[in-house]
Formats: sequence, C-alpha cells, structure tokens
Amino acid sequence: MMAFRDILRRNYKQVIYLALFLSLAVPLIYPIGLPVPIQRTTMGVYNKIEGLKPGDVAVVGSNIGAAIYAEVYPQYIAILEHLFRKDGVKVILVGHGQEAPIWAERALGEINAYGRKTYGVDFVHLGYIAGEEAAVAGLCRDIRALLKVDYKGRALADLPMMKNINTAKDFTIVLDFTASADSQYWLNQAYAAYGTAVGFGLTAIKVPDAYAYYTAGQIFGILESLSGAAQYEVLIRRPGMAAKGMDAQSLAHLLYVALLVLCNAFFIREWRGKK
Amino acid sequence: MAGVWRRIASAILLIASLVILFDFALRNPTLQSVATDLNNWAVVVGAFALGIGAYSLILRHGRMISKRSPLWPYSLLLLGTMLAFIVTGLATGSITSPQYNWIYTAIIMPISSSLYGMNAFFIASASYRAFKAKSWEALVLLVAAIFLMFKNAPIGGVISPILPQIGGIIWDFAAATGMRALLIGIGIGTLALGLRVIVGQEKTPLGGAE
Repeated sequence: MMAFRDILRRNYKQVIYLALFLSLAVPLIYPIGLPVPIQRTTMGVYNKIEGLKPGDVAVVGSNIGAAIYAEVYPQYIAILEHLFRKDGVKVILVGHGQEAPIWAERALGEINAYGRKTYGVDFVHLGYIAGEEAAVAGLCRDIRALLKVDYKGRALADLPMMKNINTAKDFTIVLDFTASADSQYWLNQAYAAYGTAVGFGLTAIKVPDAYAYYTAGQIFGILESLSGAAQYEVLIRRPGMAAKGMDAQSLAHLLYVALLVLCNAFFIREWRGKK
Repeated sequence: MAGVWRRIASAILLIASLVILFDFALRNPTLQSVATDLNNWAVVVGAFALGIGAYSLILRHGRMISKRSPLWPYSLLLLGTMLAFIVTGLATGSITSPQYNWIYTAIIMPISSSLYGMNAFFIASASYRAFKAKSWEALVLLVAAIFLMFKNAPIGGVISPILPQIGGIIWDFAAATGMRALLIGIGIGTLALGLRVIVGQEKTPLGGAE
C-alpha cells in the first residue's frame, strides 16, 4: 500500500494517464459486450420517430463540429438511418454551425441516402445559414423569404418536397444535434412560437439543462452523448461506433470512481494521522 | 454629436425590438412581413460578422508577423492554414469537395478531437488530486458524482441495478430541479436585460458602456 502510494505521489499523472489509456484502448480492441440499458430520454426520441407518418416533415439540425463528432456524430447517423427507413417521411437537413454541411454530406454518404431515396422528393439539404438564432427564426418564420436555394444551389421552388413547407407549422419534428447553448434556438423559435415538437442530440456536458426541459414536457427526448447513440443503435438494430465505445466508457468511469475513492482514502488517512 | 447618434441608434433598437415583440403576440400580416425582413437582415449581418472576424484576424496576426512579436511563427502558421482552406474551398467551389474534405479530415479533425479528448485525462488526474471530501457539502457532491457516473455507464447496472437507480433519483430530483431554477433565473435576467435595452437604459449594445 505504502509503495503504491509513493509511486502515485511521485508520478501520479503518468500512472493515471496510463491507466486511463489502457481502460479506453483495451475494450476497443477486445470488446466486453456489456448490456446497454435504454433510457427514457432515448425512448422519447425513438417513439417520436417511430410514430411519424408518410408526409410528415423532420428537420435535422446538423450542428456537428470536429471537436464533438465522437459524441454527436454517431447519434446523428443513427437518427438519419431511422428517418430514412420511414417511408414517405420528408427530411430537411440544415445547420447554423459553419462545419454543418461537411458532416451532413458525410452522413448522407455513410447511410447511402442518395442511393436509397430521391433528393428533393424525400430529403433536402439546406446547408449552413449564418446568423445563429436569427437563422433559426428565419427558417421558422418563412423559409423562402430567407433562402432561395438549397446547399447545392438548386432553387427551392424546383424541389417538389419543399412545395408545401413554408414555416415551422409545417415541421412535424425538429431534432437538433449540437454541443452548445444553441439547442435553445429551436426551443425558442419553433416550440415556443409554433408548438413544433423539438428533441435534441447532445454532448454529455449539455444534457443537464436540456433535461430540465425534458422533465417539463417541452422536448420529446434527448440522445445523451455516446451512450444515447449506443442506445439508439441498439433500438434500430444497427450496431455502430457508439455501441463499440460503451465498454471503453464504462471502464473509464470505473477508473474515475476508483480514483475518487483512492484520493479520499489517502485524504482520510492523512487527516487521521494529523489528529 | 455622439449623443445624437446614440439616440438615433437607441430609437432604431426600440422600434426593431417592438416590431419583433408585437409580431410574436399579435400575428398581423403587415407586422409579420416587417418582422421577417428585420430578422433576415440580422442573418445577413451575421454573415458579414464572419467576414469582419476573418478580416480582424488577418490584420492582428499580420501585424504580429511584421513586428516579429513573440510566437509570431504561430501567427504565420494560422494565416497559412487559413489561406490553404480558403483557396481550397474557392478552387473546388464547395466545402464538401473531396479535396476540402481531405484537408479537413487530416488537419482539423485530429487536432480538435485530440484537444477535446484530452479533457478525459485532465478529469482523471483532477479526480485523484482535487476531489477530496473536505466538508459535508463536498462529500454530498462526491457521492452524487459517483452514483451519476454509474447511472451513465452500463457498468453501473452490471455491478448492481441499484446504483443507476439511485443515480436516476439524484438526476431527476436534484439535478433537474436545480437546473430548472437556474434556467428560470437566467430567463428573468434576460427579460430584465431585454427591457433595459428596449428603453435605452443598457448602453452596451450601442457601444456606449464606459
């Protein structure tokens, strides 16, 4: 015990970093296959999408960036896959983050959207719109007053799917994927003003404040970080990168708990010694 | 003269705010049309702000390079990378072109995700170094953190089904309630700030804060 404590005292950072690296790397190479329990926030999103009917419109906010893609992109892929499995559901992809179009096009390629559905009839990509909340407000107020063309420069008037979609009243659901306070934009502009159902896919750090809206019934569900993505992959029976990452996350959490316990065991020992 | 301009700006701010506010409440077609135009101007201004941001970045770092300020090679690297992205984007005509995607995947993605991922290592080191139960409050925080970690990771349920259940209770009753109180506080604060802006009491948006 003393020897271990001395090693930790002298080189605690190196020991901890190595332990964390191993707890993350080993399960990725040799998966344990821990069960993934489904949370009700994830079920909220799943049930809402499952309940969509032909002709319903789903707006997907693609505010993913390179820093957060490990947490949010697997959620985004799982949701798009689910939406594209629903016959007749119209999907609009849009973002107010500069990197949004890169991730939207990457995801559309990954799920073979262009091969399995018709662009302009089943889905539309509106790209990036500057102006943060004003951009969301503009989309909710009057899409055509804000935008004349889609991401690839095709006139919205030429896209059959957009014919009867003008304001947030025409959106059946909005699902925003983000890591910052901008998730609030859709809540302010679509839910509060038009009553459109809103859900989120978020990084772990952003979940607590969104959860307050979930318990108040103002959002229909939240995909919580990598675990939310893993749960969704299980629900739609499409195991992907999130499900693989859950074992690693579990072991890392276990290490954090062990470090907390160890830190306090040493602290109590020192405190008793001083007494 | 500055006072006159500030009064004019204040009047424009008041009118624009009232149009947006009344449009939300009244749903009048004329008001709606004006409010939509005002909102779309904000989007255009937002796009220009990006350009101004890029301009001021080039100016600042260009000055640092010309003066050979400390760390000027980093400024050079920043402007070089920026130029590479701009040229690739303009030459290929899209930020989703294979060429742009390649430099994005090879440069931005590894750097951004590494920096974000390093948090995991800092948190691990901080858990050992700093998270000590020095008071009853700290002990409560510590115990709650442990249960919440077991709630969020599947390993908690594997160890004992009670662990995530307790975590869930803390999450539902303590965390959500506390956060809701905080959000209501922020909402009231924002409302008060908005009213101060509308009546011209808040000088910061008009560049008048001294």
